[in-house]
Amino acid sequence: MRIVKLFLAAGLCLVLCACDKSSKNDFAPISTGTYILNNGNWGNNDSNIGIYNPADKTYSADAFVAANGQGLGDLGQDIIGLGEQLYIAVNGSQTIFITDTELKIKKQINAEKEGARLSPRYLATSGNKVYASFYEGYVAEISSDYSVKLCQVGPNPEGLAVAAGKIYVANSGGMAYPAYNNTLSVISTDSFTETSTIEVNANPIMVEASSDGTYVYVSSFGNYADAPPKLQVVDIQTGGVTDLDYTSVSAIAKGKDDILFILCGGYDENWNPLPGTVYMHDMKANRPLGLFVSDSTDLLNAYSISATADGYVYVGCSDYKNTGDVYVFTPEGKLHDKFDSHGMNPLKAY
Amino acid sequence: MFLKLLVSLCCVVPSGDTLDVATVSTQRNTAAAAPSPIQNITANEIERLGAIGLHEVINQFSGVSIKDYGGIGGLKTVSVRNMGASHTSVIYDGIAISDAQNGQVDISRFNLDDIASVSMSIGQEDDIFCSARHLTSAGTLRLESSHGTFKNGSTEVNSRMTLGSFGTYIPYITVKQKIGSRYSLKAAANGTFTKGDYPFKLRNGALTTLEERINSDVKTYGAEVDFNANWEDKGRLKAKVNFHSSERGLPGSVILYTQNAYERLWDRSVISNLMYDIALGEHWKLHADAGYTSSFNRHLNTDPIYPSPQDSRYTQNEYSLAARSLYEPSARWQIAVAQDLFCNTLASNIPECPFPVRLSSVSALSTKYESDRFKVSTSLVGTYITEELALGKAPSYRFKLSPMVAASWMIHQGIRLRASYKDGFRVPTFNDLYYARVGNVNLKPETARQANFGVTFSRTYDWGTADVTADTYYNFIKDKIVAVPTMFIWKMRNVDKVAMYGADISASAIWRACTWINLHLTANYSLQYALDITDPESKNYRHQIPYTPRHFGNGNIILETKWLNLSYRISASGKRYAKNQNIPSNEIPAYGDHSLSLNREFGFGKSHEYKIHVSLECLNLSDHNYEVIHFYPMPGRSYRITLKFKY
Repeated sequence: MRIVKLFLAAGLCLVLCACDKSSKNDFAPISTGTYILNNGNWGNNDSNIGIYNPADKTYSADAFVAANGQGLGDLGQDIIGLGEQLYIAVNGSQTIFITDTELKIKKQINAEKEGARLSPRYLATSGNKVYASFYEGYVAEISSDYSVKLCQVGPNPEGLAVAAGKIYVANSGGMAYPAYNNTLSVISTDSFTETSTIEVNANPIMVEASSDGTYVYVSSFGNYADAPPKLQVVDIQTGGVTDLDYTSVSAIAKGKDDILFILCGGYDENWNPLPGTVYMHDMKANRPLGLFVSDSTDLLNAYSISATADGYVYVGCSDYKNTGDVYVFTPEGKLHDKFDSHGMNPLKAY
Repeated sequence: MFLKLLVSLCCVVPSGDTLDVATVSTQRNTAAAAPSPIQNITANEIERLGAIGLHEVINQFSGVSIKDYGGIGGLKTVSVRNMGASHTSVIYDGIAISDAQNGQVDISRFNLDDIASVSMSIGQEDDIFCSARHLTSAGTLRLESSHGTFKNGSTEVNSRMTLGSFGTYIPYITVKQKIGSRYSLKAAANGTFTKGDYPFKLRNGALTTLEERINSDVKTYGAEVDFNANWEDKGRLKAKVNFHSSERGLPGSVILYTQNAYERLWDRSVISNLMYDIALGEHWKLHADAGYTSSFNRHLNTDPIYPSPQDSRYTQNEYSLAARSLYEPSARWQIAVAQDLFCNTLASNIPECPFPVRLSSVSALSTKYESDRFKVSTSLVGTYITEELALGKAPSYRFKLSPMVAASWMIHQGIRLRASYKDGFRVPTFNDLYYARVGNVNLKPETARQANFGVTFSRTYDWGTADVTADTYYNFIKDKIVAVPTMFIWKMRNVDKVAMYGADISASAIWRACTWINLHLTANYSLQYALDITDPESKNYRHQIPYTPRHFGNGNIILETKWLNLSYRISASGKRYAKNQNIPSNEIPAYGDHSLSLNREFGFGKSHEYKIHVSLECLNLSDHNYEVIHFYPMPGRSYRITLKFKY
């Protein structure tokens, strides 16, 4: 009911804004390009999305507010496209926005379980369906009519990937410290029920699957004690889990042609963060491809990595105090551009 | 109902025929002559202002700010010149109120009802005969409760009931009993009950919605017993036991598109203290005290993101022993030594709690010389801290020497110059050191150096009094303890450096228009640059630190008459930034908070020994849901009616 009211109010405001030519928000005209999602700071409702155009190196900050006259909310976590629509998971605000390619809101999904709102984390698509993990221990299947089906998984699920009729979800158990979870849930897309679980390192976070569904790659943060962060690969045929030779893996992203981009970081003995390093890995052949960055670019305070459909790779950098910086690399690993993300903690480029 | 009561009360003769300003002037003189800024407010002034909460009084001080999370249950901490609440000492009837776990004291627990005076000193305190442990703080907030005058016999009663908006009830009663000529006993009980469900306007881009704060109910009970013995030349003994218990909902910050009520907090604390003071001849004074404080708090979070509800319980204990001595070789010269020993412990049920035990020893040597025109005081404080853990390796001991010096000089009748320098610090808290995953045992104390230079003017005229103070200062904070993120987890570290400089200007006047009308005027203005100078490469290099307005001001006008007191008070802040970077998207808009109070005292009985005080207040007149902390909206316009009965 409250949401309906919000929508009515939003509609009214948009009408009002449209009439008011001397609007305070003077944004550059929006052209679709790469969406930069800034996560923001917890409790600050300062998550936002800007649109970056790699061809002419322009950035329109706060494009979501410009399109809707209202903010994205607290902790935007993931953004993904399906057809002409974008799905945006806003974790703190416990909502999923569905927008057109110019970020104009078409629909808002507030998933609930037993009267309590659920907090979305990561998104994945397959066919005409969108899958979302919810921190309360669920995965949702969102159909094209926006109907939502829930499937219970392990505690505090994070990243998820879909391949060959299966959804792989990382059950982090991140809120069960120190008893982190260490499993992936496997859900069949046909029945939308959990069919099995796979044991991995403690506190798994991100999951990517090769397009043919033979290998699933899982990054995990470990337990901050005896289990270090890891990148592991699951051979789906044999069910075997192998540690890959990358240390201090903080984020992974699947790019064009089944290349996995791996961001490694870590810190020195005085807790000073070390510059990030990006590696490539052939996902289908399960084979390392070496360093990605081919010039001398230093990635200080590297925070996130994304690879877009045009082959560009985006590394978000954040010192958690200031607005972030986004480093844009060409598919060849050369620095193409660097810009201020106009938001805290640039988490994803899509 | 209340109107009827008011009407009937108006027929009664008002108490007292002339207005008393004598007590005010003695405090004025002390404050003007003090080598470091000090401000003071007495019970009468508090009553005339119409203030009930301690934060309402402190909001009228200069150079001091309150971090207020809004509503009656919202955390309220005091910070001197924005150096942070953990650099402020809070002392209640001579007892240091501390929190070794969090390092900051929530002042919302203190009730103003039985408070005789509230004083706030910035830098060094004027009285060198004081405990050693708070000397290294940047500022000291002192609360003194009233001892009872026993003018009308051996029993005194002070009781009160306040009713306010949003389902608020604040009852209070204290009874003081004199036993013989040497002993007195005080018993007090108070409560604060509120639903706290205030409405507020939420702005989201071009959208404004009317919302209601949920889960901000508060239930507080307090009780206190004081025993005083005065054996004249054999000394004085004071014993106090204070109990406080509260339960409240924690509404958290306002989040767009959702609203949850998962968190609750329970607090329980006992403060007990025994003090003995004796004068040995004309030149020696001795003081000794022993204290035990225990506080328990429970934080429950039923957010379904937790596999099971998070039910965290913390118990802190403090055992303390202190002694000090003052020697006065002449009427102008004083030498004091003070030694404080205290032990703090923390136990909790959260994972990896190392059950720390901290032993602190603070020694101070101070001296003061005072003539009519000149005053100088200096102290040297040595702090030694050692810790033991049940789990893991404890940090090695810490030792710090802190010097401080302050002087004032009267250059002309009523005009004084003052200058002071102080080396202060705050010790890392138990949370800074040991909190699971985030804590860092290698932390050093966070140091705060303060230099102040000012001029004071204080004159008494036929028509009344006038006081002006202007201070400029430079503060430097090094090794500031902040949570720094690494790629995987946050870690407490000594990284930030802050340079602060600014000015505090304060003016007040009392105009005695005739025997039955006094007009009190007070105005304060602060200008502050508080710049983050940690990293020249950072985007926020030399930016104003978060939640620090460049301009801040407050003031009040009190019209005091034989029949009625009318007071208006305002506190206003310029824009601030919610985060480190000074960019428009981090801005929190400026605000002004106006309040109005109308109060009157009625006397009954032969010599007006029974008194009824009625007060009507309207708070936040402009009904603006401004924010002190981003996304913690303050309540809009609200009303309060207070009825006091005194005997």
